[in-house]
Amino acid sequence: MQDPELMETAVLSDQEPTPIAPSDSSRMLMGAEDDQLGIRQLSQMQLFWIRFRRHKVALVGAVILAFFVVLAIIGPYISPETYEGSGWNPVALNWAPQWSWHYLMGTDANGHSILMYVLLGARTSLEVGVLSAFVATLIGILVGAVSGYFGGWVDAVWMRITDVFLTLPFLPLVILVSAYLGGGNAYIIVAIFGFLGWSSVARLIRSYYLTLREQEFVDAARAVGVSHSRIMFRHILPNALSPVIVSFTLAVAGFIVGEAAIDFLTVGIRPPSVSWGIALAGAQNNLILGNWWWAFFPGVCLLLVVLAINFLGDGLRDALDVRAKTSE
Amino acid sequence: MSTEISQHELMQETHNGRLLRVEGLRTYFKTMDGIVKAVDGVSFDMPEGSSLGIVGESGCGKSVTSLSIMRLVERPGWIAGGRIWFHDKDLLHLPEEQMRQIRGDDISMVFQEPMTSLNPVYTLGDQVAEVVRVHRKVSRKEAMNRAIELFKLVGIPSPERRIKDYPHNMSGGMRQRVMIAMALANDPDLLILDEPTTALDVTIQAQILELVKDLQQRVNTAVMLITHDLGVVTEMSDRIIVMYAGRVVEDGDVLSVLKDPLHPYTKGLLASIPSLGKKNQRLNVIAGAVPNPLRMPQGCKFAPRCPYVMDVCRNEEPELLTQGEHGERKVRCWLY
Repeated sequence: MQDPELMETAVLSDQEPTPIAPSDSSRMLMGAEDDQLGIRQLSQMQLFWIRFRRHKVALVGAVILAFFVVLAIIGPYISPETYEGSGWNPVALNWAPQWSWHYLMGTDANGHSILMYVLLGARTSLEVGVLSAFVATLIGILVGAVSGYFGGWVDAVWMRITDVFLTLPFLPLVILVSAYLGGGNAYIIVAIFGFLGWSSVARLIRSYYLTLREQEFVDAARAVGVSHSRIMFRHILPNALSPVIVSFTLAVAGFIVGEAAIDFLTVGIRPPSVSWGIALAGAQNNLILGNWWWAFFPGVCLLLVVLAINFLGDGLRDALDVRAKTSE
Repeated sequence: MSTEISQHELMQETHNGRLLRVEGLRTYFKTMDGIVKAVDGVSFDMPEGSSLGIVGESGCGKSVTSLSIMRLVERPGWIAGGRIWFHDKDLLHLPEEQMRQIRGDDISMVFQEPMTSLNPVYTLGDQVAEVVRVHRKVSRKEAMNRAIELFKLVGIPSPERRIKDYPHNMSGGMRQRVMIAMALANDPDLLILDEPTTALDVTIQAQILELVKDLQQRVNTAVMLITHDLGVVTEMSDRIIVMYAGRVVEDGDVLSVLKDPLHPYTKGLLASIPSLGKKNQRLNVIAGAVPNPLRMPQGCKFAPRCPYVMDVCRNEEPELLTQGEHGERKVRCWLY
């Protein structure tokens, strides 16, 4: 700092900033130029929250989803019965909903409480949805990152593999694999969904890597000796996190529907595990008797969860949009 | 490697304070229309702690030369031939992992664009500390302290606060200081600056150049400065290499080249610097443009634009020959 010119700039930009708005607990981010102009810079988190809050439907979605997450956690403790424990209950066959905890949503043809299906099914649905989306996203990130970053023949090979997975008829294949593996267990379903459902994520991530690898900060990182894997996952991935979060969210919704569908077709989870899909499957022959409640309550839950997640995903997509401004 | 060393008598020189020796470097790019010879037989030496300026118009191969030294030329480009000796290592035949360890440790590079060369999602401190941690086994805290030290070195005010800032909080000049701090993190022997001030305001340019000059004296790093600005080279470097169409056309110490340019291209470059105080005068320009790299002239590449052109120039390309009584200068021209 012997240089007088440097000293001058140092003095200029060293003045303490005078923020217009009172600073809250989160640290105000101030830049060299902004110090003099007094512009308030918002952190990424604040910006995200401001934009997300504007999206009312997404907020509603978040609240509904939060409700079902709570249900999934406490469901087994407040459920009026367990599937194994209930057995065949001849006293309460096909009861319509009535004002008691046990029969709040009526019973099925075996006298099982529909509320039990709803409460225990919430956990199954969310568990399978989230875990499958997690596995699929993880594989998708790996494949997409490697092919997008390296390009060339690596990219060509992996994208052809991705194409194959993309063109596989998902549901028939799931049914086939599930039947072959015996199904029944939620984790087998997760594995099947995860390993069959990563291709669209891989495509998306690859497209982001294709753009991001041309960015100068990637060259700069290479020029200081950062390794390929570190550049891929530490330097580029955080810049591609918004699409990852959004596609993860939407994948959760997709896999929840998928799980209900294969349960409905009785190749998915089997009793004594409980899911909304199983309840729906059982209801189909009894709807004709006027037992609307059997299909209605699990069906509404499924609809609400999937809608809520999709709304949330929409809101996240808008709020995480990287092209948006950095100041308000 | 040891057998190679004994075979190359050049290596004797390498041990005598010679840091970098580029021999007949050729870097080509494959395009739809054919092969572009971006760098075609470039040779030069750099002693330890020296400063070298490489000048030339856009597209003459300056940047590709520096990227080749770092071995960062990417598809569709490749290094087609030549040797790059750094200390006693042949960089072009080093395994990628060893080359990676050299980048950012022994050889560092600062890019033209400070606005986009920093990762937007990490703090400046994290990014400088990472460079340290990639090459040294130090704790996160030690690396951060080194980052603060480096920020002080490059004249960033209140470094303890600044390391927690993100790139978008900084101006272009400040970001370029951060880039220089990153480049100096591991005390490199060679610092390559690829048009470090082109994207900056004139006043900020001067500050950055002052900084580099000051740092060069303090940390004793050899500096290779790539620029199209002859003024900057005069200011910063002891030696100058003028490149044209992928070749070195003139090589010598800055003062004599500027005082008495030999190659017509260098003369043209010097004449085209506009001078203050002379109003109503047409700017001097070198007529024509850099030849299409796919259809290079057969003889001297500068012949179509050269005011002194002779018949021999159009048919045969001159060699880069030593000039002057001390053999200090080299020029590629039929006039000499």
